[in-house]
Amino acid sequence: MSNITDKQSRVALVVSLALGLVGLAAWLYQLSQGLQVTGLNNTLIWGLTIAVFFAIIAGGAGLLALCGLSEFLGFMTSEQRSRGIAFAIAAMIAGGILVIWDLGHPSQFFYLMTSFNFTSFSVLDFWFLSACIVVAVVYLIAASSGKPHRIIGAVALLLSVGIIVVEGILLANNSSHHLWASSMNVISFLSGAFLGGSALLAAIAPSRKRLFVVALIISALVTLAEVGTALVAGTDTARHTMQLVVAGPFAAYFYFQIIVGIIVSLVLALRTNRLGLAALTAILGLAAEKLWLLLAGETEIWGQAHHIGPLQVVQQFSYWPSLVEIGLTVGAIGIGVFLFLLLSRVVLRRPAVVVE
Amino acid sequence: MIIDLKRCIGCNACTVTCKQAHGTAPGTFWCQVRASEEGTYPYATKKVLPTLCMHCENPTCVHVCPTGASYKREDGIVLVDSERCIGCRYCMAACPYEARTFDFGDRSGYFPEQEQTSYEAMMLEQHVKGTVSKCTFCHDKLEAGGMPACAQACPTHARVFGDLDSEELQALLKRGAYQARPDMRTNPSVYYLPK
Repeated sequence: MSNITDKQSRVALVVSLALGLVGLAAWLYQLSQGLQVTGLNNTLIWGLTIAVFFAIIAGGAGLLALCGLSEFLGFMTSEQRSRGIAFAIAAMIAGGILVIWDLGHPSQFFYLMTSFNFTSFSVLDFWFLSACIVVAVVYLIAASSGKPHRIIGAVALLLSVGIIVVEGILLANNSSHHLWASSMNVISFLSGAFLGGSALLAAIAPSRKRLFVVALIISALVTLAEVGTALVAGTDTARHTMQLVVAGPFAAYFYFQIIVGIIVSLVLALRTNRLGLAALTAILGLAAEKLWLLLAGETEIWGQAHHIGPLQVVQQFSYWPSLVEIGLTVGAIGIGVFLFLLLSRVVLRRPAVVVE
Repeated sequence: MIIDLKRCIGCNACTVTCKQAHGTAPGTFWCQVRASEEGTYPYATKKVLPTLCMHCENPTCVHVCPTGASYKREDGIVLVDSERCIGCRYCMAACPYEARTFDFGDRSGYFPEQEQTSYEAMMLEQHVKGTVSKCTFCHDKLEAGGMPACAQACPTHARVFGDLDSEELQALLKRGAYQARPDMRTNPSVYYLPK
């Protein structure tokens, strides 16, 4: 059991708000200068912010799905469920902010909301995310009463799974990128959501840490299957792409996922019981996984855009996020934490206490 | 358009004339020649591949665009409306030909130590920071009865522009013309003649 006092909660509120302001400042700077202040280019078009967006949504939607499932299987108390829903809302709003901060021209975002172009998985993603947040807010209000709400729990569960599937296909339907178009992609996104959700669940309900441990093992297996298949049984393109991940410019993110995201999280969960920290390292690992997946997939196109025999790949790609991207990411997470603390105080009428 | 790889000498005249005609920012290439080597010395040869937007019949960029900024005209030309583009770069990920570029906002020009020329400044103003852009097939020139700048500037006439149903282009297509990445089922309007 660990308790956070009211004073600590207030300090956390102020710190998270300050981080949110840092993110806002980074965004305004990026708006004035353009995305030249990021580490991105015309090949590496998505980087840290989109990777963290995927990880945050995986955590939030995964946790919301588990809250919905617990209505039927009863593995969460009503207080834990309320806290979990509040966390999921905060995570999904933070993810939404992060993806808007990544846009080059966000002032025209209105056109996305009104296009209803459902052949675009971005549009589906937007509407699924919006629906998830709205349903989660209704669910939170209902759950705060302490009674079971199976119907709304089931709706939340379906929408949460839906958004993860949509995000998996969002990448997978870029069929010229073999790494993304793999049939493993949606499975990888679902196992990521299970990991993110169970990590946050373990932080809220420490007695459920076994589920977290199982999710860590599944995530490790899925990742190793994905990497191993491409290296051993893949085509030349798949092998070359995966070499960039295991022994190339993006290896740092892959090994960060394996060492920090999986091994350190497992040790923390099994040996020390520091589940909050273990959840954090697991979600950082999840973000690292999404980052290498994005980056390696993006570089793949260069070798593919030929039809006169292989063009020698003369350009070496590497990516390190800029300070602005780090500021944006930390800021969005700060806003998420601030919202969670606020929801805990206003809706749940108590500080963000981790109770078991 | 048909590009005859046997005629292309990789001189980049198309690349330069495209940049001149559209005044794109440094790092932005709507038309370019990719170069590589084949074999090893002393038998190494240079391999070149002129590329541009393929103006596909079934454009994946248009399908994935969340705002409708990417669209296909009735005449088949695929364009981007910068006043609707939110700069999400999804179309860049979806394009199998890496034909699209993002405006990262660099306005320093090719010679940052010097001021931009009036022409540079005027042309750069037409490009919207934070949005995606691509080859327009010089649709303004076409509407005035001309042809794309790259086809006009090619010193070896490697780029042939016209109606693909015309007798002249049909005759060229019969010489073994093929489309890039047919596995993507995009049905490009740009064909290549083999080397």
